[in-house]
Amino acid sequence: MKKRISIFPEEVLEELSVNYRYMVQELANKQGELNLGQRFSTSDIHRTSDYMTVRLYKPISNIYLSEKDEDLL
Amino acid sequence: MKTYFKLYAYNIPVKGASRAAIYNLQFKRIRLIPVSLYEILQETAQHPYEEIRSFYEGDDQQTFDSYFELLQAEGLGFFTTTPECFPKMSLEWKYPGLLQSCVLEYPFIKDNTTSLIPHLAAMGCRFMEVQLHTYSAAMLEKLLNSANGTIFRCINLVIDYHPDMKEDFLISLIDRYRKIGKIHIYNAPQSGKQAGGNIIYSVRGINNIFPLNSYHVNLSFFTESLSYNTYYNKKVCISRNGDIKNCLSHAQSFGNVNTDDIAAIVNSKEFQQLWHVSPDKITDLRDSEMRYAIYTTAALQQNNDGTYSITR
Repeated sequence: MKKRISIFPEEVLEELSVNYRYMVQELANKQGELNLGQRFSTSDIHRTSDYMTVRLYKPISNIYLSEKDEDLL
Repeated sequence: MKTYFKLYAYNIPVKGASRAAIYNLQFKRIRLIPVSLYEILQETAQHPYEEIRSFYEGDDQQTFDSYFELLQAEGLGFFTTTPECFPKMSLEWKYPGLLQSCVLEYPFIKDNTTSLIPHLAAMGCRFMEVQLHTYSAAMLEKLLNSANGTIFRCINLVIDYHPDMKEDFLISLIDRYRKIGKIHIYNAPQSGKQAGGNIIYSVRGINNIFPLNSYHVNLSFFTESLSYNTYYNKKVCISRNGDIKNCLSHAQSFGNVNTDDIAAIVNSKEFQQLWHVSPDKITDLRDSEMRYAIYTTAALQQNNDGTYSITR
């Protein structure tokens, strides 16, 4: 079984109840709903410097690598 | 009170010739089902569950029950006494612009990319792929500078490897030009990923690096597939000598950016013909239950009856 690594240091955990040992840290950008807001550019027409960079929901051309293909490179 | 069985609105059943599928557009996956279950689901969508169940007896009723146990266990549907409270989701696809994406083969024989980009942006084009076959750092910067402040939301770079190519420079490009999505380097000495997967090196060449077909399950792709061809729709490709095409691999050119008005060409019926060739109009795809998930880049040929076939 994979050992769970706590997000708190041991000295802090000693002061907390046992369930805090089960809290794990996960990167926000690995969560589907939070996988946003990583990069922003500018758009003059929208008058914003917080113009979110997003990928298209499909490949743009026939040049496309799926995540699986990328792992097989 | 009568009980109805409803699929959740984001689960869309699609019938194929020998199988059917439920497209789960929220969780982005497909559940294959028998055609018989697809037909039952069409009935239960309109009539009370018990009324449909009573048509079946013995083993058939057991199979019927097992179907609905499975659908519930997999979280695909639910029973309700108020089906009118759960309307169907709109499957209309809209895009705010004449163009959605463009593919530029760079550099052009005449270097007019920088003047072309404002025209593409004016047509609402938000996604760009630049295929750079002759690497030049200055050329890359000039191109990316011209896209600064435009409505492009993502620019992917596909670059032929060059010994002068420095990884630090590519990483600095990603930092400085926030519209960059990914950088693919082909013909690289070794494969791998850098900069958190934003730079991808591949030892393979551009022509054998990528698949002919790929599958995508999501709401936008599904709704677009219902009426349009997801490969050609709202896309323009410009080859290195400036030819305006539906796809870079096509021989047919509709004009040249050096001499013609690109907006007039993109607006023409001839250029947009392939945009409307949805999977239902392609004989090779229309019987497949996966037709609204497949992204096929194969060339199409029009048949005498108005349908299209994939040319191998």
